[in-house]
Amino acid sequence: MGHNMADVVRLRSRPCVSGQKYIERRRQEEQDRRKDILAAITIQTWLRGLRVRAYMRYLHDAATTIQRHWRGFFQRKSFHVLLRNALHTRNMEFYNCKAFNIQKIWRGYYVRKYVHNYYARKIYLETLMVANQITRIQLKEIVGSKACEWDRRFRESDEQRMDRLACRTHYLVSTRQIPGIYNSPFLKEPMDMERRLIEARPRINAERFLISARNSTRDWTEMSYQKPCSIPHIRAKKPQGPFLEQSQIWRHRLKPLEPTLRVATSFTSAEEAALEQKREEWRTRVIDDAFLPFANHRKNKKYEPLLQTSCAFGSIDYGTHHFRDTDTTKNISKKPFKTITRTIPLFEKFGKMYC
Amino acid sequence: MTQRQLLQVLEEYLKGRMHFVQTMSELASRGQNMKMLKNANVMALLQPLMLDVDPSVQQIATQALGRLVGHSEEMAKELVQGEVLPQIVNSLPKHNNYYKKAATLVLRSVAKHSATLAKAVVDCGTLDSLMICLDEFDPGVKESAIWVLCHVARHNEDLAQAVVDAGAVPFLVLSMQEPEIALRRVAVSALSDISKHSMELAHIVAETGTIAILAQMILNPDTKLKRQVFSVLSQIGKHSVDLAELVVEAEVFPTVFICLQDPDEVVRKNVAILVCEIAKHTSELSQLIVNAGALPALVDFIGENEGSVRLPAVMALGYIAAHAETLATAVIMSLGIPQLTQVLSNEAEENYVRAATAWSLGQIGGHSSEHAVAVAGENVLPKLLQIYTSPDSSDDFQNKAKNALKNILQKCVHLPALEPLLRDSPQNILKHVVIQYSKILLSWVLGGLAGKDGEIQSHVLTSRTSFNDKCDIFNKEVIFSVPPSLLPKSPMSFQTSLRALCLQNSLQLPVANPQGALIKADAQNKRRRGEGKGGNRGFI
Repeated sequence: MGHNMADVVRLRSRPCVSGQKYIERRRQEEQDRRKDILAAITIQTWLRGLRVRAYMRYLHDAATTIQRHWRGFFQRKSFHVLLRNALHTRNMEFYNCKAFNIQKIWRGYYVRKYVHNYYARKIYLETLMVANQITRIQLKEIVGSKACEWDRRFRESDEQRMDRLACRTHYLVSTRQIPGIYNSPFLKEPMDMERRLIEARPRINAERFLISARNSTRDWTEMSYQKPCSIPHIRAKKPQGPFLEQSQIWRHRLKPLEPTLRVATSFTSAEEAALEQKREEWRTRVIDDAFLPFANHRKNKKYEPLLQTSCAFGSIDYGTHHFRDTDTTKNISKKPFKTITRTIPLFEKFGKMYC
Repeated sequence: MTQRQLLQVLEEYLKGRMHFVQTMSELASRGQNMKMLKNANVMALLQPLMLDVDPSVQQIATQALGRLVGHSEEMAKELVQGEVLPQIVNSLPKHNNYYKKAATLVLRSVAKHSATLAKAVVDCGTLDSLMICLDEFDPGVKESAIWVLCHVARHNEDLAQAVVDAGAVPFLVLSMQEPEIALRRVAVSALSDISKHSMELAHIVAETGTIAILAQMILNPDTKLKRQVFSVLSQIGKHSVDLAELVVEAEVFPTVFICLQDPDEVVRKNVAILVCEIAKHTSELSQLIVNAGALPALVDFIGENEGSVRLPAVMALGYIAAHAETLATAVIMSLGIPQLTQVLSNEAEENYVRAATAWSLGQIGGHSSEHAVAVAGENVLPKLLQIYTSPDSSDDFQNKAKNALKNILQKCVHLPALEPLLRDSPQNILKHVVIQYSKILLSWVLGGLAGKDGEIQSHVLTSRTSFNDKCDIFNKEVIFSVPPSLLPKSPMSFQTSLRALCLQNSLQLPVANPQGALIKADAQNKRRRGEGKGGNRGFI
């Protein structure tokens, strides 16, 4: 407080200062003091603000200048690098575009040509169809020509089969007295089989040998048969006169025997056949007991066993048992006559049976 | 007793023996006497006669025994147990040709019944004696010996390997080139039996240059020879790609198709088997065969034949078509499909042939939509469906029909073909049909087509009733992708597609309320889109 005693004394000594005005002035000053202080503070604040802002601005400008200069310097340094990179990038893009183009065109070409060639496929399928047609035609031709061949062979084998059948069933041939089954009187002309039967000849041993050699399952006991050799005769001297040709004569002489049925049949064929039948019956008969009829069925009737096995003298001639006279009292001897030549049973049936 | 009486008695004894064996031999050649001969225990009587002093009695006794044993297996077993076989085998090289033939007949009859018996024959050391027989000049002996090898090698791989180990194959190859037809037949059939078991055996057969020789025999006029030749070629070619290539390189192929029309059925069947086995391996081989002209030959073959003869040809077509799409197109263009449908619909066929046909059709149609359309065009799909649903088809048949249907359906986008299937197919087939419909509809909805609306409406409606709530397999994307801009544009097509869509979603819509459907579906769409938007809000 600036008011000390000295001042008070001084002031009191002044004659013009009235005590009342002085106190009022001092009171007014007291009252204005706060306002003045505030005003002073405000002015000072503002001034300080100005000063600081100016300073800040100055600093900012300085920093900006520094930064500006620095950035420029730095960027100019890295500008070249940047430029180079940018150029590089642009170049690469350019080349990439071109490369893409090339690859695109190439891929399209490659796929269209090698992976999935539409036109080649189309052409392939069309030519395949044409080739198929050609193949069909060719096959038809070849098969057609072969079919004749196959047909012919089939017919030949058929013919051979029929000929063999005719050979085996030659007894069905028709004779003058009795027409055979293939020569029915109701037909205009005899059937084809009839012709075969007429033309059938019994197979001689040589042929049988050859056939059996071909079928390897035949028994080989006949293999020892020698085929007649056909070496011609050595000429000792010239034959006289105009004779037949040598080859003809030899053919005639060496012509193999074609015996008729009667000659070819053995003399004792009937006997042998009977024996054979007996043997077969002996072989095949499984049950030895006589087969008796059912219990209540005509008890008195006894089963008649086979003629061949029961008769002591072998087979009786056909018709002997039932048709001939069985009165044995007038017989010279007890045994029946044994004929010197056997009647051929086939001819017994002459006129009686159909074939 | 004087010398003469002794001689007489001996002669009678010999005659008796001779007579006995001759009769036995004749009887044994007929099958109906077998039981009787067995009961009479003839085998025990004949066995000692096989070791008789007199050679002709020996021969005929052996022959009789061979025939006996050939008819029944028990007698064969008895013979093996009686341990007579080693004696026969040992005496085989020493005697004359007739005995050899009779002895080989016995061995063959024993070996043909079963694998154990054949093994027993081999164990007696037969193979070595047989090799000696094969050295003979007489073709009959060779033929019988090779026949034994044939029967032995037929049963299983070990026996065939034993035959090969004994060194039979070069002999067989040489015998194939002899002039006698019977010998050639038997040699080829022996090779066929050897090579059928495994790849190594087939390789051994093929490496001796056999295939070239066989290829020359293809056009031989003898039927049985041809049967065997084709059988060998197919057995060789079936095992691996290299062997098949070897067969093809022998240039059999165009010539073989001639024999597809041979009058003999077995020859035709064997040729078809050959083609099938070769086509099976790779697509290059199939291509080769097709280029050689197989397709018309096979198609004509199927048309002209009946029954199980057709089976290999049908399978060959299936294999060819399965390998490559081009080949399948070639099969279609060669008019294969009408023939196959004819086989399928011909009720008199065996089921396995029809099953194979179904499989082949599936292979043909499964490549792309054009193929599927071509296959479906012959009215095949309803037939397959009928086969699948009928209760009296076998399991295998049903499976094949189902797979074929699935294959074809997965590629078929042809409406008239799919329509008949909508009506009465079971669920799993219907699923595929509906998926195909959805694909068609998708393209229509997005493209705004107004094409065949009437048809699809009616069919969609009829199938709706049969199809309740199991369809969540339909593409949900179709619903989301229907943009609102389409809504007022083409109401007819939209109705139909909507119905189908609702069908998929199993919404039970009334038939005659298209506007309501429109609105409802519209609201649904908007709701869905609104949800989407609401969910996105937080991101701004």
